[in-house]
Formats: sequence, C-alpha cells, structure tokens
Amino acid sequence: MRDKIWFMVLVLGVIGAIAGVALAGVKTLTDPVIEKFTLEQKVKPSLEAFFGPIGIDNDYIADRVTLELGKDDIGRMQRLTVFKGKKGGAITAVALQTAAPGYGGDLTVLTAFDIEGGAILGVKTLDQKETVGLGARVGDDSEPFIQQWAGKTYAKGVALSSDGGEIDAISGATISSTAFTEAVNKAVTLLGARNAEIMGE
Amino acid sequence: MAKRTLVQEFTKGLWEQIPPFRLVLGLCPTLAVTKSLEGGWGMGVATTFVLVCSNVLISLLRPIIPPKIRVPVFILIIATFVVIVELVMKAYTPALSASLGVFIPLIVVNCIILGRAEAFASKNGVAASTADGLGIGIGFTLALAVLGSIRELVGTGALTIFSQADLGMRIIPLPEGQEFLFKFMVDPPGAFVMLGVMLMVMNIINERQAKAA
Repeated sequence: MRDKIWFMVLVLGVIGAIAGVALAGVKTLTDPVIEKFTLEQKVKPSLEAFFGPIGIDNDYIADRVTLELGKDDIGRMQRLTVFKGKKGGAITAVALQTAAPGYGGDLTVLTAFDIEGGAILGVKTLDQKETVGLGARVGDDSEPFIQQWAGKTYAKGVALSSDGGEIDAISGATISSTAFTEAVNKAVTLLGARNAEIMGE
Repeated sequence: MAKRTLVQEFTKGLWEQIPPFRLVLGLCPTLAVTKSLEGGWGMGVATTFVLVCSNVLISLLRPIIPPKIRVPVFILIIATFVVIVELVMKAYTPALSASLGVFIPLIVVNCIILGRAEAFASKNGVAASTADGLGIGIGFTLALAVLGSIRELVGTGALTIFSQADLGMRIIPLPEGQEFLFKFMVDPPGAFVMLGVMLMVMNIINERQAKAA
C-alpha cells in the first residue's frame, strides 16, 4: 500500500495540512507579541526622531488607527496603520506603515509626512528579509539611502534616480531599493486616496 | 556495528561525531553566525530544537512514510519546525533574531538535520532518535559557542552572552573609541582560519588518543 500513488498523496496532504494548522496557531500566538515589540522598539523611537523636532505633542502611538484597504488576490484583508501627529489638537504630521514585495519577502516601511510642509520627515524599515550585505542595508538607519529621504517633497510621488527621480538606489540592491521606493509611494498614494480618514479625528 | 546504548547515541554527538568538526556538516551557519558567543549558542539552540523535534516526529511516522516520497515529507516536517522557531524567536528574543537574520530560516537546508533524518531517525526508534538529536544538537551548540567565544574575544575583547538582558562582559579593556581588538577575527576570513585551527587541534588530540590506545 505504501507505494500506491494515492497513499503518497494522502500522506503528504495530511502532513501538509497538519503543518499548516500548527503554523497558523503559532502565528496567532506570536503576532501580538511581535507587533507590540515593533511598536515600542522600532516605531516609537523613529517617530520621536521624526515628529519631535516639528513640535508634535500628542501620544501618536496611542492615537493610531488601522484602515482596511480591501482584499488582496488571495483574499487576505490588507490593512494600513496610520500614526497621527498632532500639534495643539490639529493633525500636522502623519506616519503610514506600508509594504511592498522586496527580494526576499515583504519589505515593511514606515514613512512620516509633514502635512504642513509637504515634505517627507523620514523613513524607517520595520521588517525586511533582504540579502545580508546588499538589500538588508535598508534596515540600517545610518545608511545614506535611508537618510536621503528626509526633506523630499512628496506631492508628485518619489522615484529612484534611474527613473528620473531624486532618490539614489543602493548599488547592488536594485530590487530592494525599488521595493522600498514602491512602499513609500504606496504611502503617498494612500495619503491622497484616503485623506478624509487619515486626516479625520 | 554493534548496537549502541541510548547514552552512547547521545554522547557520540559531543565528540566522536560533533557536527562541524567530525561530520564537517552545517558549515554555512558555523562560519556565518559565530561572530559572537551569543550568535553561536543562539543558532545552536535553534538548530537543536528543530533537530530533536524533526527526529522524534520522523521516527514516529517512520512506518507510514512511503519510501519514495520520504525526502519531501522530511523537508515539510523540518520546514514547519523552522518556521515555528523563527516566529517564536522573533516574538521573544527579537535582538537575537535580528542578529541571526536570514540564517534562522536557512536551518531548513542545514544538512545536519536532513542528514540525521535520513541516516538515523528514519531507521531507529523514538528514544534512540531523541538521544541522537539531542547529542548532535548539543555538540553543534558547543562547537558554535566555542568558535563564537574565541572569535569574539580575540576580535573585540568582550563576550556577549545575551544582549537582550545586557548579559556580557569585557575581558580585555580597549582604549576609548576603539571597537575592535583584532578585527580580522570577526570578519568572515577569521571564521575560516579559526575553524581550521579548531579542526587541527581536534585532529591532534584524536591522533594522540589513537597512539595511546
């Protein structure tokens, strides 16, 4: 029986199904812990650096909202996390968490916008699985690639210098640089498309 | 080969078949993550978990796994445990997980694990497979921790045990503003040289033992 084709299909199918259920369970347990860590250790310090100098005075971590963006092609709900920065009660800056497919999986980026000045305040990589030594450099805040974003105007979107824009890609990591730019552009587009919800109270 | 006892199955992984040196398997993580003591033991523990779990499960499923598709079944089981380790480490030891980076998911293709599944767990009982997995895993952890300690100590003059809890010590004081003692050791070529030195030392000891016997 063990060399019958239906039995092989059955064994592999059953083990695969059990593995899938087990992984879904572990993911459900670890997701909130990972999210909490990301908020406290990655988002908070970055937003302090981006929002602090322009005088934002609210608790932007607590004042965050999650918008639903509709389902992707495999039926998963896509969500957008927005951090609202207020000065004297009025929203003057926001930060959007967006993702784009990079070289080794989704590249998640936090982009902070100065609404009054129309400029990007800064960017930060929250999650990446890029190649160590090449694309993974997007995860290093001191990289010139990451630092060059601050002060760029975003009204017309942003583009890499190879596409006529003013962002210099990391050499040897075109795919990661493009994905990063795509994630920021997604944030720019959403900022326009969902403006009412993002800027609302 | 005579039938080994459980204790022998366990202890063989600690010296006789210690993975990076005697089996010369699993060299990719051995060279890549042993920049510090922490990286070494972290990788070792993650690998040991996957190795023990996959050994136990494969040994249990041994009677029903069709021989023709055994390798895909092994890979599926190993990959599942690797993803579990990856998620758990990301949640509870984020600093360690970030420093090991891509080498955690790469445990899937660590040939020690598939090697033990194919050569041992698919032919032996659960108890023996557990002992084998634990022994080989602990041997691998020890080897990586020793290699990591030597490289970090010579390279930076310090030892990090667990950076998340600020556990570590400075053994050799460095002048203000100096980060490295002997930077070559924490760079990739240092890993090759140190691995070579450790292999040499082990071979000398083995030769002496063989002569004495």
